[in-house]
Amino acid sequence: MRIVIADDEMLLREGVARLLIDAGIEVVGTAGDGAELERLADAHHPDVAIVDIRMPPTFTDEGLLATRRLRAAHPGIGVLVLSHYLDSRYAVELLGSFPGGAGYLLKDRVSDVAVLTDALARLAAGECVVDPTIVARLMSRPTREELPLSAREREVLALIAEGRSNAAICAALFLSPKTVEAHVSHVFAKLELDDSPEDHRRVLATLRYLRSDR
Amino acid sequence: MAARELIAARSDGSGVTAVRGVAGATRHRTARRVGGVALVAGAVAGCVMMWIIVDHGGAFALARGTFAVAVEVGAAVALIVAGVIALVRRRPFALLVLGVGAAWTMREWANPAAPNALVFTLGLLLGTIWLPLTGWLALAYSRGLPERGRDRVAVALAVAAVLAPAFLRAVTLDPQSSGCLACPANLALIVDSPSVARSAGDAGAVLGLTSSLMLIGFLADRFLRASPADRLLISLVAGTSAISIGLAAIGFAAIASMGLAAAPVSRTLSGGVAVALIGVAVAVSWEIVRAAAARRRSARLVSDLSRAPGPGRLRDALAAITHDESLEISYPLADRVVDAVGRAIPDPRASGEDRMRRATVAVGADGAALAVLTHRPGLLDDDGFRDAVARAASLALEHERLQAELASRVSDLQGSRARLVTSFDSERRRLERDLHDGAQQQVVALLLKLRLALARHPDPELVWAIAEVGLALDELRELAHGLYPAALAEDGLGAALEVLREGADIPIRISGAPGRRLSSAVETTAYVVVAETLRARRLRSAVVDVTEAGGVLSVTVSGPPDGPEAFAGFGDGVGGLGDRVGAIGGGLRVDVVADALTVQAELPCE
Repeated sequence: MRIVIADDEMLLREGVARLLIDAGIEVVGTAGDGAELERLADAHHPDVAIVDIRMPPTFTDEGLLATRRLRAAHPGIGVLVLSHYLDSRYAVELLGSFPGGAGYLLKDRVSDVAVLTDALARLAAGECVVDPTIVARLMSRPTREELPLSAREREVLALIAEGRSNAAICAALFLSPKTVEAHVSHVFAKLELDDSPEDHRRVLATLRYLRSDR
Repeated sequence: MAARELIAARSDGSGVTAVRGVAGATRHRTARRVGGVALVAGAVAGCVMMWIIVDHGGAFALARGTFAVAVEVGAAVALIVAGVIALVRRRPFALLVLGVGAAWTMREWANPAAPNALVFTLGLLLGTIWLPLTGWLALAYSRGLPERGRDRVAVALAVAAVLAPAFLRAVTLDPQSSGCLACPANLALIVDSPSVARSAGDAGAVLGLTSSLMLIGFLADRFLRASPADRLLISLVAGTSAISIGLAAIGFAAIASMGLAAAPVSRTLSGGVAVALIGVAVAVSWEIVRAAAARRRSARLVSDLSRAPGPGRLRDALAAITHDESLEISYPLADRVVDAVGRAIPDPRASGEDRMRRATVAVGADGAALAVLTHRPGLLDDDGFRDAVARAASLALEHERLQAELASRVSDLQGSRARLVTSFDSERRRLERDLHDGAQQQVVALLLKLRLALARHPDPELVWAIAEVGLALDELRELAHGLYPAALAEDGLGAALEVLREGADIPIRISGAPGRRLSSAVETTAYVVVAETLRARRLRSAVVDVTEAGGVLSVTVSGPPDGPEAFAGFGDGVGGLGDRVGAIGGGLRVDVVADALTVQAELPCE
């Protein structure tokens, strides 16, 4: 897997690069702003780009804009957006504009190699990634705590919101594929959500549901 | 209460000119009085003389009708009457008017019908001096003596041009030997030289013509250079004077070209000049009479003024008194000029484009400017009237000035208050960004280094350290968000409220959202109202409503409280929210309706 890292903070991008290299992942380049990122992507055609959401010049959401341009130039590329912000706004916006292969993690997570490599692998495979902290926060909202779901079903819902595939859910909860499928159907039925096949649409639907108060 | 002595000064649009003292120079006035009385006496005597001469002059082959006689005498009478009126009304040009009247009577003194030699001689010497005097009057009219040296020189030249040939003729003309047997003797005769006398006479005509044209030229120049306001005032007098001088000029031209044969033309023209001079007298008197009539008419209104009308009504009262609807009052404060309600306006005393308007400064007892009245030329140009109005209005002006100053300072304070709140918010925003860009980034990098170290050297201490640093990062994030939520600055009130709802531990429903971005002060205050209410008051659930209508953003937080303590302690307006909302000109209301606490803020937004 070939990665590029874009972050205006040099310490951070060099640190993450070393972390990944130590873990055996190829880092083909690091960038300090959106323009440099695009140049690197054009030159090396990486599989996934790790992008800080805040970059020069305005330090608001240049990262998001850069990811869109990246996707337009390199349709298959995976994008992992890093942010300090706990709220789900950007996650929903990101997933809404990408048909898979997009992920949103909190900056804290980058130092956790296991989480990082797992996320990168999933993105390279075209799945979605949403930081579990964000999902947990959404699920602990008062209106969402009283969902008509069993404890097990809640666990499944959280994992769906995190972007996990059914196979990953099986592995995480030690359940058989059939059981997982049944849980998923129940959850979607009870919450009156459209049961899409496992792709970014079900993540998006779940996130949107969790953000609302229906 | 001691009577207030107000001094009114006038400006001509290019700054304040002279300040006229109310307790003026007494000696000057006495001299004027004496001079005036003497001139009047002389002029009356001259009139009588003129009448006698003209009447007796019918013996000559100069056919004149009663009408012509009446007109010529009438001109002198009119000028004397006008001069008396001007003298009584303390106009500075009064003496000049009388002088012109007296000079006009002398025109006929060099006549065979003159009763004695003295009169005859004076007539020879000064018979034409009425011309430069008329020019002087016209140039001097309009509130003061000739302002420019050039005008003075012109008058002096005209006098010289008129007197020199007359004097020369007087010292060389012997009427007897020139064929006028009925004429009295010429007391000024020095050398009998008829040819010199004749040449002097011819030169007199030419010089008379040139000085007339010169005077008319200077008059025209003065008129053209005057401001439109001044032109209105001097047009009548300048016009009639110019006509009289012009007719005289034609007469001179006729004499110069045709000699004695021009006599009939000259007579007719002289009648025209007399009519024009009557016009001058009428013009001078008319303005004086009009001002006096207006003053009488306004006496009652002036007494109304002293009863201090309310703010805004003072201007209307003054406008009615001065018959000038365009009147404006402004108050110069220490650092600015304000109108009656305290709004800052440009200083009307600074020279501006509009020269039809004048600024009159009302000066208070201590010499400082109390108020500035900006008006059209009119009644307020009369010194006496202006002083009377200023005295009557002094109390009302001071009153209104105090109110205007108060309103102006209050407005300052409000502006300062709003700026304080805005700067406070900007500061917090800056701190949040610094935290986010600085400390948070560094802690994440630190976490990274620790994990890298852990990967190389497994150490339980490191594991503990990593956990602690993780907690620190969470705290940092909370702190930054508490300082200023990034969503508020980036995406506005709606987004910030959504984030608030997402992170709240009670169910919150949000209805309505502003359709557009508003000013940072309004958005931040609205957000703070919601956030602070939710933080300070324990509610079980909340509904947040945001509506914008008619330039007002209305934000309402309401919900059932979790226990009775939620209702306690609203004296400080929900933790200082009242102050903050008030600082940007809004209002805060706290209600308890049907067991629900409602906090509503209404914020002005343009």
